[in-house]
Amino acid sequence: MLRKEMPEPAHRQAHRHTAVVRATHWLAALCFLALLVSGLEIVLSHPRFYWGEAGNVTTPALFSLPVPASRATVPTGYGFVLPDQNGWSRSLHFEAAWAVVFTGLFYVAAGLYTRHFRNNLLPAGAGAYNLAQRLTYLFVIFVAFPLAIWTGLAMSPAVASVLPQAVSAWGGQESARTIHFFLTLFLVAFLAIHLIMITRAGFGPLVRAMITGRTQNKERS
Amino acid sequence: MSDITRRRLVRGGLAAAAGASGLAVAARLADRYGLIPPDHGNLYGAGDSLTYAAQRLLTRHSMAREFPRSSISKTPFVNGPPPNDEAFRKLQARGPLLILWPISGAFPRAARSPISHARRAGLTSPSGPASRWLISSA
Repeated sequence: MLRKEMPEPAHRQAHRHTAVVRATHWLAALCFLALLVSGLEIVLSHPRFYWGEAGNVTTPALFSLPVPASRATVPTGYGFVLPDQNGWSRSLHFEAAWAVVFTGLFYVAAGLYTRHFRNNLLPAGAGAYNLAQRLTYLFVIFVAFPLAIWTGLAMSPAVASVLPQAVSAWGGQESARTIHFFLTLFLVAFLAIHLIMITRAGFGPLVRAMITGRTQNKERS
Repeated sequence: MSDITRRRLVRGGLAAAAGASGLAVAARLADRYGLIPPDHGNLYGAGDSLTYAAQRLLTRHSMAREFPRSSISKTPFVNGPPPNDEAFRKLQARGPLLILWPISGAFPRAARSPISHARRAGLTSPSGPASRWLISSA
């Protein structure tokens, strides 16, 4: 509150993003890329989705992806089996998940401390973003990512043995997996629109601003 | 913001030193309590170690998720339902097949292996679908 009333010092006005925002942005982007690639490889093991607690090749699928599987035991209607890349995919998926969790926790803690959310992301703030941007960013940070982490953990037998409510809240392990997939689709759609908007608003200057923190365009800062 | 001052340098150095020593202490403690997986030395070692340690810390007092009896599946699922061929029906007619696995891992003397058991039961191909099903159900 206090900080908003105070005029920014002159040497700060040229900065569009703080160091924390820049570092966590690129770390999260790298993690998301790793999660997306490894998640795609994992889903190829069994490109069928179910609802409820149980689902396997003997139960009817809610829907299935139009791709061949990387397991010979999963019938897909295609005549061939893709190479199985589940081993490293799983390790990379979990490693990137840990990294994005730590990155996210640091970002949220720093954002609360520096009032980044209040000033730049909450609809009443006075920052550079419009209402649609603010709501989308807030949704991605506080709804989509946490839910993706929760549904991911709900697929873990270890977590389910300690906290079965984390699974049953979604209606079962297979429901959690299906929601995890839809959250991925949402985040991919967000990334696509994010990149389109960045391109339309000036790709070079905006990416430079997210790397160095400086912007030449005074109106944008 | 990016001006390097002595104060920033000292503060950053202290934070880095504290972080590094904190990590070293955490790694030593984790190793003492058996929280480091044996294959931690590869590219995914950091993530695998975190997952391994988190699972062991979480599941100190739990083994597996418990389900109500109503959740028991109506259809058997290991490698799918049993094969519906003459060889398997012949085997099934002999009654339930029980193979007791000794803890040492050696096969019981009566049935040297499920495959030899299946072979003696009249299955021509030891690697056919019926014997695979036997192995997974035994």
